[in-house]
Amino acid sequence: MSPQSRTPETSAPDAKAAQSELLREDGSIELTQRTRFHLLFNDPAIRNYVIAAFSALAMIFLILAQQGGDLGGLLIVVIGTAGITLRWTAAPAFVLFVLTYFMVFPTGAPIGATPMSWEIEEGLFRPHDLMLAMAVMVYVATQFRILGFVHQAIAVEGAVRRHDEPVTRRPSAVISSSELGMLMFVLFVMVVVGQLVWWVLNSVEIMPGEEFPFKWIGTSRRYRRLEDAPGGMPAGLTRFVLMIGLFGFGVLLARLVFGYWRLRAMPPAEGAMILIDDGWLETKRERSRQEKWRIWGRERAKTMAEAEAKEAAKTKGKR
Amino acid sequence: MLSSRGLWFLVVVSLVLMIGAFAIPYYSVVPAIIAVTLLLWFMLEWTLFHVRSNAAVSRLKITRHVLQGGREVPMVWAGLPFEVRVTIENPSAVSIPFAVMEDRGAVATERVEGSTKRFVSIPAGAVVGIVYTLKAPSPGILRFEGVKVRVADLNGFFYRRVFLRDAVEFLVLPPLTDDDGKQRATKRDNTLPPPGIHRLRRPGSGSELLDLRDYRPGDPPKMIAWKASARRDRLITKEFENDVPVRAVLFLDTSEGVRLGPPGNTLLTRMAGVAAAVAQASAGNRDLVGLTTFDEKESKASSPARTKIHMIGILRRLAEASALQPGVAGVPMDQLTRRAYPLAQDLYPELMTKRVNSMPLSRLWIPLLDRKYGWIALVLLLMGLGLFSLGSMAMSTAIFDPEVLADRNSLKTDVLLAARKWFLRSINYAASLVPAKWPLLAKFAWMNLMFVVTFFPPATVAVIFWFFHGIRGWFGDRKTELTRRKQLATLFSLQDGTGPDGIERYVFDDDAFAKRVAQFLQHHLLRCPVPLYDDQGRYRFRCIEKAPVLADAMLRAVGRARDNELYVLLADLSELGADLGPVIKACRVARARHHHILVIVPWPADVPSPDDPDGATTASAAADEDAPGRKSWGATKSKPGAKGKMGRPGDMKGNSLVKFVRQSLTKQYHESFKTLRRELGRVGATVMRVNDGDPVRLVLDRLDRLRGMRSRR
Repeated sequence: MSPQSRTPETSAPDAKAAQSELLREDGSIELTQRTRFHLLFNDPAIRNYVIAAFSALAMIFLILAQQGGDLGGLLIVVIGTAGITLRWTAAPAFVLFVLTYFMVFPTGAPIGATPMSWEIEEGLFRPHDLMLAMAVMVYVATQFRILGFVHQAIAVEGAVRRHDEPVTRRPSAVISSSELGMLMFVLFVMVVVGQLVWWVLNSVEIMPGEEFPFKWIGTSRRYRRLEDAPGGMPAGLTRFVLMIGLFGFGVLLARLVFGYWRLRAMPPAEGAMILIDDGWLETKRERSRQEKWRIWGRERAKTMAEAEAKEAAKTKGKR
Repeated sequence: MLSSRGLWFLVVVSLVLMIGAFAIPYYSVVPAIIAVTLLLWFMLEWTLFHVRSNAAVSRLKITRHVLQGGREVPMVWAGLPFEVRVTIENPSAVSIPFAVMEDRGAVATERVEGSTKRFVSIPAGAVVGIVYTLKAPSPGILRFEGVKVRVADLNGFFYRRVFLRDAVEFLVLPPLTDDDGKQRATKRDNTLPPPGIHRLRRPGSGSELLDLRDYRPGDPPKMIAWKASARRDRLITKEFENDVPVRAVLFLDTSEGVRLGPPGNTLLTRMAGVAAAVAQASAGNRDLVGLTTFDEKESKASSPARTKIHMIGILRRLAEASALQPGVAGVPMDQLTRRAYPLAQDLYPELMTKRVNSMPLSRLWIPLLDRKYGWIALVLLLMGLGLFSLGSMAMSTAIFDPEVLADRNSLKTDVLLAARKWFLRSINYAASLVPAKWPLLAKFAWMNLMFVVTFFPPATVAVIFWFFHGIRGWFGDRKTELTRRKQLATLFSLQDGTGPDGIERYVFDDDAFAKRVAQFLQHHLLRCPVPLYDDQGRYRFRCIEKAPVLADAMLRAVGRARDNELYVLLADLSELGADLGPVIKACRVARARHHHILVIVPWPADVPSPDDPDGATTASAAADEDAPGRKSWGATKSKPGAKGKMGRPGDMKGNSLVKFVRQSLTKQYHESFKTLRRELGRVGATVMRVNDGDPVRLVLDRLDRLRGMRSRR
C-alpha cells in the first residue's frame, strides 16, 4: 500500500477512525486541508500545541494593544493564525518583522518615533517585555512544531523536494506527554537568560588601550553620559564587538568540543576516507597527469596495432 | 545538518537582532531582546541536537531476523510469505525524540503486510522495531542492505541521515512443487511413490530374465537354469535385467541473453522455475536428476542423484543462477554513474559527503592543453610574454645603456629599437584611451589594463580563451558528472584498498570505471538498463559462444551416462540460427547413444505465439509498456509518449513504422524458432516453448515414457 494510495478522506465512521489512527502513526501521508484542520483541532496532542500558539498570539495582541499598537497586534494575530492553519512557513519571520516595526511605530504610521535615552537602562526585566518575549517565543516554537506535525518535520533529501518524494510529518503518536511542558520551561529559562545576556552586553565597555580591555560599567552610568569614555568604544560598536565575540567564542568552543567528539566517534571507514581524500588532494595533479598519459599511450598503442593489422591484411591480400 | 528552515530562521533572527541592537535600541529594546532570546534558543537546540547526534545516533545498533513458517530461516522459499523483523537499539544514555527509520527492502519482492518505514522516538536504552511481511515471487537472492535513519530536532532546524549498514543475503529457493507442478501442500514423506526404477537390458539383479549363457565358475548355483542345462547337456546360467533408476539431466542456460529483464521476471527466472519443478517432481518419483548450468564461457555440472542434500543443492544453484545479472558492456558511462551515484549516496551517506569526499574547484578547471588548439593559445601567450620582455629590455637599455642603441649596423640594435617603438606606441595608445575626468588612481589602473590588452592583442585573446575554456568546468553537466565520478571513484578506492592511486585511474579510465561500477551494482543487486542493439542494429545478446559450451557439456554428460537418459535443455537457442551446429552435433551423439532430448525454449512475453499469427499485433501492442532492458521488439524504436500523440500525421507515420518493425522482428523470431525446431527435430530432439502448455508435465511424461519403453523391450 503506497502512501499515495491512502486517501485520508472517507465517509464511514469506522473507516474514519481507522484513518485517524493511521494519520496518528504514519507520517508519510500527505494531508489535505480538511484533514489538516481535523488533525489540528481533534488530535489531543497537537491540539495542545495549537492552543498554546493561539494563546501566545492573544498575549502578543493584548500587550501591543496596551502599548497602543492594536493594529500591529491584530496584524500579528492574522499572520500567526494563517501560519498555523494554512501551514504558512514564513509566518514567524513576518511576525518578527511586524513586531519590530510596531515597537518603533506603535500606531503603524511611520512618524512620531522619538529616541529615549533611558530605554536601554530601563528596558531590562520589565514585566510586559518579559511577557511579550515569552509570548513570541511560544508562538515561534509552537508554530515550527505544528509545521512538523502537518507539513514537514525533516528536511528533504536534496536541495528541493522531488516530485515523488513523500512528506515526512511527525505523527502525533510520537508526541510525549511531557513535551509541551518541557518546551514551556525551556522557553521561560531562555527568556530570562536572554534578558541577562542583553544586560551583560550593555554593561561592559571595551577599552582597547587598557591592560584588561573589558570594564564593567553597568547600564545606568553608560547611557546617561553625553560622551564616550576616553579610550573606550562607542556604545553601539561595543555591543557589536561583544555580540560577535560572544557568538564567535561560543561557536568556536562548541565546534571544538563537538568536532573532537565526532572524531572520537568516527567509524574507521570514514577516517580512512578522509585520509584517502587528503592524499588525493595533495597529489591530484601528478596522478591526473600520469593517468592522462597512460590513457593516451593506450589509445596510441591501439591505433598502431590497428594500423599494423590493416597493413598485415593488405600484405596478405597482395600475396 | 542545518536544514533550510533552520538557515532561514537564523537569517531572520540575525536581521532582527541587527535592527534591534544597532538601529532602534533607543526606541525599543524589545526586538533586540527577543532576537537575542531566539538566538540563544536556536543555539541550545543546536547543542542538544549535536549531543544527540554524537551520543545516540552514531551508536545505534541493528539486528535483523527473517522468519518463515514461524521460525528463523537462513533462506526462504519463493511464493511463500516471510516476515522480516528489524530491531534498532539505542544503547546510549541519550534519547532521540524523533527519528524516521526506513528499511531498505530487497528488490523483486512483494510487500504483503506492514510497512518498511516507521516514525518513532527512541528513548535511551530502548529498542524499536520494524516488522513487515514480504513474498518473493521468483527464485533468486534477496539482499537487505540496512536501515536508513533520519533524525531531526522537533522544530525542523537540523537533521542528520545515517545508514545502519547490515548487508545480509538470503537465497530464495524455487517453490516446492508436486508432480503436477503445483504448490505442494501435503507432507512429502507420506506420499512417496514406489521407487522409480526401470529395467535395463544389461545384466543385473532385476527380476526379469534377460538372457541365458554358459556357466562360468563363480556363478551362484541358484542362477543355474536347470532345464536348459539338461537340454543342452552343459551348465547354463540365467541372466536377469538390471533395475536402474531413470536419469534426467537439466541443462540451464544462464547466458547474458536470458538474464535481461526486470528483477524476478527474466527468462532465466522462468526457466529456473521450470527446472526446479522438474527436478522436484522427478525426485518425487525417485528418479535421479542432475543439473548443468552453462553460459558463454563455461559450464558447471552436477551428476544425477536423488538425495535430499542433492536436491537442496540443485535448488540453491537455481536460486543463485536466477539472481545473475547481465553485464553492463555498452552502457553509456553517464548512465552507469546516474545509476550508481544515488545508490552510493543512499548506502554510504557518511562517505559521500563533501566533507570527507571533496571536489576542489582546481580539479574542475579544464586544463588548456587538454585540447590540441590549447597549444595555439599557449604559443600566443608565450609570444606576448616574450614581446613584453623584449620591450622591457629595450626600454631599460634605452635608459641605462643608450650606447647600445647607437650602433646602427647591429641586428640586435634593430630588434631592440623595434621593440622599444612597439612598447612606446602601446603606452601612448593606452594613455589615449584613458578618460580625462577620472581620478588619478583609476586612470593609472585603466591605463595599465589598456596597455596589457593592446600590447599584443593575440595574447590577450589567448588569456581570455584560457579563462573561459577553463572555467567551463565549474558549471553544468561536466561539473556534475566529474564530481560524481570522483566521489564514486574514491568510494571504490576505499573499498578496494587501492588508496588515492585508484581515484584518478577510475576518473580517466572509462573501461576500468565501467567495470567497477558494474561490479558495484551487481554486488548490490541493482540492475542497469542495457542497450539491446549495437550501433549497426544487431541484437547484442545472441551469445553464440554458448553453443559450443552447451555442446561440450552435453558430450561430457553423454560420456558419463550409464543408461539411456533424458536431457532437458532449458536454453534460449532461437537466436543462434546458423551457429547452432555444435549443439546439433552433440544432440546427434546423444541420440546415437539412445538418450532422449527435450529442448524447452523461453519465449519473450511480448512476442506472440507462432501458432497465433493474428495475435501478433495485439500482443505486441500490449507489450509497449515493457520495462527497460527487457527483450522487447518495440523497445528499440518506439518513443515515450507516442501513444498520446496519435493525432499528428508525423506520429502516425512513426507508429506505422514501429508496427512494421515490430511485425518484421516477430516474423523473424518465428522463422528462427521454426528453423530451430526443424533442425533439432531432424536429429530427434523435441522442441517446445516454455509457455506452451505445461513443460513440467511434458518432461514427466517423457520420463515415464522412457521408463515404460524400456520395460516393454
